[in-house]
Amino acid sequence: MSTLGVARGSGGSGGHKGTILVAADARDRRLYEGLAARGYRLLGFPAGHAGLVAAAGLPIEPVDFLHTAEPRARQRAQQIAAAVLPQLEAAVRGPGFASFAGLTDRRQRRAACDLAMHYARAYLVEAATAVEAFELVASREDLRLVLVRDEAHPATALLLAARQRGIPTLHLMHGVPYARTVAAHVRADVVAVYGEWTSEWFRRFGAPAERIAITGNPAWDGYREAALLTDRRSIRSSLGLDPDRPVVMFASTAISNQQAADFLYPDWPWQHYEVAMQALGQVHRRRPLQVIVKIHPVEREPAIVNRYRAVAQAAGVPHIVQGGWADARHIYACDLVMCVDSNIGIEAMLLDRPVISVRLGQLFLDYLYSAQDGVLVVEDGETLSDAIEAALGDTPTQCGLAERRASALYRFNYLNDGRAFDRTLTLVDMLLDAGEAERRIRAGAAAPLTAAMTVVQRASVGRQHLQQAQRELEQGRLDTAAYLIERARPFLDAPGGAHFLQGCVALQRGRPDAALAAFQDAVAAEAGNPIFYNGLASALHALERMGEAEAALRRAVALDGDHVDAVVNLAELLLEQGRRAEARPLLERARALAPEDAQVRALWDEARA
Amino acid sequence: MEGSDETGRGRQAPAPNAGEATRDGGWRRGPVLPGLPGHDPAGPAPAVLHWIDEEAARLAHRWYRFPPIERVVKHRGVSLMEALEYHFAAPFVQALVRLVEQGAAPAGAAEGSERQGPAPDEGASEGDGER
Repeated sequence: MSTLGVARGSGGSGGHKGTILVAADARDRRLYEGLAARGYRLLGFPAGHAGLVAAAGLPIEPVDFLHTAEPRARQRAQQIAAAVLPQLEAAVRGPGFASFAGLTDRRQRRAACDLAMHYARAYLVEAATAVEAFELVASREDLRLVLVRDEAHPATALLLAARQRGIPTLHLMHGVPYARTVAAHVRADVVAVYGEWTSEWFRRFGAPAERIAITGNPAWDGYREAALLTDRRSIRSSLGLDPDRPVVMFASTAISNQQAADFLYPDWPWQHYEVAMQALGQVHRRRPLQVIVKIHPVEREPAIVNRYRAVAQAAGVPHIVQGGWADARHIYACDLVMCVDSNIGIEAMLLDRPVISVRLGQLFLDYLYSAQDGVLVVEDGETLSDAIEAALGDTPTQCGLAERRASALYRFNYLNDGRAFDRTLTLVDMLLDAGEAERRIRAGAAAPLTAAMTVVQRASVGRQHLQQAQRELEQGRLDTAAYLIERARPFLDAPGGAHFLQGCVALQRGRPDAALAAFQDAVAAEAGNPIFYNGLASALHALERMGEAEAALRRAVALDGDHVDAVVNLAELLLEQGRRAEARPLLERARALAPEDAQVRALWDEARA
Repeated sequence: MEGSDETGRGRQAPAPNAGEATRDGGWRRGPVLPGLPGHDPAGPAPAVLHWIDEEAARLAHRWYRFPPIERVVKHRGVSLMEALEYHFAAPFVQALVRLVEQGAAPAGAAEGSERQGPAPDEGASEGDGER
């Protein structure tokens, strides 16, 4: 472990480009590796939140600057606190404070003043230590960026101290802010968020849009892609589950002790769990189920785990209990995920699974899911079993959830294209060296979505939307593809690509008229693009307007004689009309362009027959 | 691929769920939630819970901005109290919960009123610096 006492001076000695102070978190391993590869030195500090790990194994040097490493900072902080506390108490007890704070009730006034002083006495030294220690780091290191994960101590002190020195700060808010009591304000220069939902959350509490960057959650990169590659039955077998029987996951929730319900209904998560198990028991008696109980990672005590097991047993559902950190196999094995307003519902939506969020009593001011999302929000325990049945087997319900999933996933986690990490790294690049970031984006790096973007960033954002729309289209998720095309439009200088993909979606939906209109728009927007003419021909062919289809294909081939799809389509159209002699030279060309293509070979055989 | 470890409402400062086992193997419960059989309508209403959360959030963000306080808690340009705001919210919630339990529920909150604070306690000025 390095200590501040031996830290080197500023100015890039040791060959690195500067130092970044980070809240060490194993989930950001790829980010650290990316920044280390860029040539930055990383100093990590303990952040004290869930998920925090020892820095061992990460490419960062830990600095325990709040405790043993810098006794001078602590001594100085103690002196500061001793001087401040009496003045603070005088101000809190003095005239004007109660009306300033809006404390109109006598008991509330007294409680607030006592409490403020109690916690000030307890923690003022800690805050002052963080500021003092930061000053020592900043005076010795060439600090380029401070990167935090939340605003728990000492993160906020570091953000505020960095601001005083003009050092850029970034808050990786890659979690869902759930309580306005602790997560409503933005203090970093920029906060990186999953999606629009979190952006709207911060703006609701006054954060300027310019300080919010949408990246998606790097932890979920790969989820959506893997969903299509996994075989649910095999995964069930690997977990010891019956591969043919429906599986429902219930993900438990832990209280945070930060909202009133946590104190006035202290077992509210248990009550939700019990209601869910009872409903699952009712459904199981009608149609056999298997239940996975995924216990929140903080609940590790055997007694608590046994309690979960006992409740499921009493409800009469066959179950397995999964404790500790998440194992993605369990969620891949499911047909339905149930939760209590948890972001595991977003993970389930990424895998195209239906989600039920149980919400009893409207305990909180703010909830994650609304009726517009791909989630069934059930507020009445008595109707829960019906909702489970519907989510598992009612086609209109499942279709409704799937339709809403497209916009919900975008709202919660942006593009879901597996590039959230890339966007996060680009965002860090933008804070470290805007010119270098611009060059990287121009070369293909993914820009995050921000309120104020350069032309290059904007083009990158538009391109990312269309690329993901195309992937979703190829994977048969037409609703999602159509949604992303619409979201792409504000970022596009030329609308041709969006029109083209819109035409492809319409064709797959069996609506050639709509497809034709979209392809015509694409051609009108960009007359020199052979791909658009090829699409136009597909729609005309579907409408049996063969002459026009042929003309469109000939235009595509004229624009690009190497466009193999257009060449093959034209040859196929000619063969359909018995014009083999005209088709042969086209197929010879196609064979040269794509010698391994089975369709080309089949058409070639047909043309020679 | 690893699954996400961020689940549940306790995403930032989670704690094991409340309740404790009793000697007979049962479980000591809090009040029954609204909407469930056995719920006591005289128990804490959602409007009261919401008022507490909103008021605690407001207080945690506001109190240290009182200019005489701001002047004394600034160190190297940093408000040491703002640095601790995250940690003040929960104690404010608890303090307000205690007040509500003592009968100081905000006027109108139980009926779902939009009123944002407790009823003025007229004539109460002792010890509050407001004389």
